[in-house]
Amino acid sequence: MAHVRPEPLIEVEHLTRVFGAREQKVAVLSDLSFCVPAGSLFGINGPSGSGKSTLLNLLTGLDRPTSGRVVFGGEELRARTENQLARWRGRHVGIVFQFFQLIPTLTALENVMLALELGGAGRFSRGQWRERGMACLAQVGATDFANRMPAKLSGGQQQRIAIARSLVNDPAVIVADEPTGNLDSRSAHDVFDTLAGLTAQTKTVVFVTHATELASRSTAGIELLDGRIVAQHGGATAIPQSA
Amino acid sequence: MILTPLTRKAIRDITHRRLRTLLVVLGIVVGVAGLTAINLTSHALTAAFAFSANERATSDVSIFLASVDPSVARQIQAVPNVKVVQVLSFYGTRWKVSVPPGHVNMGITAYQNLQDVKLFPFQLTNGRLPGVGEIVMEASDRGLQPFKVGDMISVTTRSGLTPLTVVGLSRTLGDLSATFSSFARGYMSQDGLAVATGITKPNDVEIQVVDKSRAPETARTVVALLRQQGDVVLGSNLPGNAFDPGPVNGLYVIMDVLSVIALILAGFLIINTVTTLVGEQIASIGTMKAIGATRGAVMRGFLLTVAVYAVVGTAAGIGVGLVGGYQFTLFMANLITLDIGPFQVDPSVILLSAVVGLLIPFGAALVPLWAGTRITVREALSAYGVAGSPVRADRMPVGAGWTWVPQTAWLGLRGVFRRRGRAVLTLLALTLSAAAFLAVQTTTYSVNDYLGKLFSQYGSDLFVSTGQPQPLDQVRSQLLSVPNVAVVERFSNREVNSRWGHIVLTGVEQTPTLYRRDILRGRWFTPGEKNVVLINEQLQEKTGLRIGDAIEVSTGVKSQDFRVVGVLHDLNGGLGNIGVAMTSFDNWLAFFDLPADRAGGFMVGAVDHAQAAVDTTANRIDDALVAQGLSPFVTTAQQNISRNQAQFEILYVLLYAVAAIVALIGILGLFNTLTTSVLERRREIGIMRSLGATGRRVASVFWVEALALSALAWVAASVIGIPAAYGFVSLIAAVLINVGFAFSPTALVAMLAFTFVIATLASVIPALAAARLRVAGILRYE
Repeated sequence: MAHVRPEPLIEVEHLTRVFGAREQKVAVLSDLSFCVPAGSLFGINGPSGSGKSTLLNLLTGLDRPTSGRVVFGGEELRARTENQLARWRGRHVGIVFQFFQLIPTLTALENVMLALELGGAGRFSRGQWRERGMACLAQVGATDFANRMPAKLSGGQQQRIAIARSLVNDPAVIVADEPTGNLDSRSAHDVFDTLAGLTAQTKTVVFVTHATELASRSTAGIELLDGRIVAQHGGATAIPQSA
Repeated sequence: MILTPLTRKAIRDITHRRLRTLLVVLGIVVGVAGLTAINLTSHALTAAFAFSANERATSDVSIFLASVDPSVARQIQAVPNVKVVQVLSFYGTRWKVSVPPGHVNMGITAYQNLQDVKLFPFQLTNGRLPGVGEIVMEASDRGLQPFKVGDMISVTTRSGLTPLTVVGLSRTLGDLSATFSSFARGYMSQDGLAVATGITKPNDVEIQVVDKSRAPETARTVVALLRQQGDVVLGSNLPGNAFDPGPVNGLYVIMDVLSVIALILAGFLIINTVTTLVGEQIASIGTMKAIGATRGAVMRGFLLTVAVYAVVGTAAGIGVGLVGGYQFTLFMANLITLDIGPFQVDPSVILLSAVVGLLIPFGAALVPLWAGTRITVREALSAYGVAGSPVRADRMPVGAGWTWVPQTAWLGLRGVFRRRGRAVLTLLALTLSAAAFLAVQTTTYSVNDYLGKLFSQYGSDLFVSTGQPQPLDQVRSQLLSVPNVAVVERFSNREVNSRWGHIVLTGVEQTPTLYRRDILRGRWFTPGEKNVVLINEQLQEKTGLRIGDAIEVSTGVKSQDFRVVGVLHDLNGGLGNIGVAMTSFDNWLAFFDLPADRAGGFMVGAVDHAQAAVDTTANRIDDALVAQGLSPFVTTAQQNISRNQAQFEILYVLLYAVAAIVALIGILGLFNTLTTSVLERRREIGIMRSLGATGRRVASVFWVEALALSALAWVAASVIGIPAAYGFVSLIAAVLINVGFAFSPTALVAMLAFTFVIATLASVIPALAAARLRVAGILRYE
């Protein structure tokens, strides 16, 4: 039986990102081409300054490439306006930040429901928001502190809330930028296990890390160095090969 | 669930920083309350004027006589166009009081029948009507010297000090409050006045006409009738509308301007606050955009916060304004003695305040919100925890190498323009505050200067009026016989009408010594020259008259042209007058149809000008003239100045209230800026503390930043504040009284102190907050 590769969810073609102007231009990413297979735990690995976070921003529409393109679920991102990108992100992408980025004046549950309010919430009526929020908190084991403010939570707990927030609109992709970078080792393992477990729910999880231990747990991924891909594995080739 | 998370966030942004919320709302309250109070007072007083005019029967013609038989009223009633006739006696005297200078000028009005007062009736608010040896005093007289019903007062009559028992208190619509005018008023029966003073017959006829346009013609007819039957007519005039809100309207204009200033500053405060709010929440904005919020959704959240500020501030401001406006209306009504009538709030007052109170915060918030939410997610999230905007590494910072300046001071100074846009906004608000303060200082200085110079042309120590014109030689010798009297000159002035407004027609000696002539253009009148005047600068400005032109002036019964021969410097005048026209005393007598060998007014110069000596001289003059059976008014120059100063107190109160408000708003704006600065520079603070800086050193960084901003604002305010002050003084001159612009350089020093006080007060809380930050907490995320 022929081996069927998973369809790519995200296709990146000749992606380049240059910062600065005139004599002070810096090419953070140079001519990257790869695919993110659907349902994979995709790792973007590399040392500090290799362009990992910049690449993640380009994949999620948080930043625009200097050249090249990102095709996400068959749609190219580049042609969209800022507001269109924001709406698109709300529906299709869940983002988990290194520094959690919870709204300090909202409770844990409210932070999760905020994503429902802002992300279009096409699937859930307003009356279902609370239930949906609690369900996502339960998924990450955070129902006990649903009504606490972020300042009263530990780093690990805050990151769990952030993961719950990223799940609430049922996006196809969860993107996590150094999700464990600000956590102690035990919390880091717990959080990463939670993220990794999402692939079992047919989510695609793209994560950035400089920790080789975490990178080794990915099912597909690339390694960056100075803005270029130096290694890739698990179906992250640029163009899907026909059998 | 009723509230969405975004709504909850908007509400918690308000409750999270209670002090800032309170101060922003306070700014809106002040602006809206001011606008509401002014409009409410304006509507209420306009209605009160109309109501009181309807309630109080006023006269259209006043005729002053030596004496007249009361039965003349029936004859006058038969004259065409005469509607109501009131015959009364008016007696000018002095009320002995215990407060310096020891007496108060007073007018006593007496009626044949106190139960039947047809014109200018008074309301008896306490006690009963007076009999012989008794008097009813105007209630506001108690502001000059406290007394109660049953007490005795003493007034000067030809018998010396005459005691009268106060049997009642009165309230007379349209009369200025005694504390405002420094003039007391009382009522007696004609019999009582006769026993106390010897005046047995009335000396004043007041007439109300049917057709006001024919009042001058009616006045001439009545005067002719009186002269025909041998009555000595001393003068007449057309009193005009006693309830003319004209002068008060000038005050409204000033208050409107002050209210607009407060609202503009409140708008700046909103801009500053929203900018700060957005700046504090850059990371949250980035997060919201990252998880799907459009720019509009982010703006809506912040606009909801602004909406709460606006609604709460407007509602509270309208409430405070209604209460304050009502109290101010009562105050003004008491000042002018008006009946407010049934108090009503015009819905347009509330509507206008609501619209302004809601629109200004929204309008002010839109620009910073639009600019602040433009930030991309990447920019917003990369700015988290990082202090300041990118540092220009390609050039040396200001003062680099000046190692004698403490580095913490440089930290404060170089922090001023870290965020240029915010710094400019803060500077703008501070500059406006400082400029407004300078305008207030300069205005009060100009008014004080004006009051000081008001009588500078009048070198006399005393002004004496004998009431009725008396034989000149007799009065002059009586006055000169009083100890300490050195010089006596004839001097009288009376308000007349012109097509531009009321003019003070003044008569002086041909070669006065007490009146200091300051001729700016043209010449003085020559001996015997008839029907010529010099006009003061204010009158020339208002009328556009030039030397050689004719000016027509009129009283109730007479009109006459005077030719302008010169322009002089003379600040006399007052509320409701447009200027001074000065002529020879002989011309003055002729215009008012008075005998040439008589005089009713004098300027008196003393030998000893010390105030105590002048006060004693005033009392002696009063005694001497009263002993002759006259009812004189004797006023010292100082009493005139004090009276004018008291009348301006209300303006001072308003101006200093504005100064306090602008100071508050300046403090709020700077407070917001410094608060954000502390937040943005947490890493610097952490590093400083880890290097050994005490809390005080950390606090000093922000205090220096505040002082630097204030100093810059002082420079900018010095440039715009002086023209602004000139504009404001010009406004007062145009609508209230002809104050000239006077500037003292010490006002700049006061303004500098003002800005430094603002800086220090505004920096207290942010500096303390910076000093108390824990190092571990700050540097943990780095």
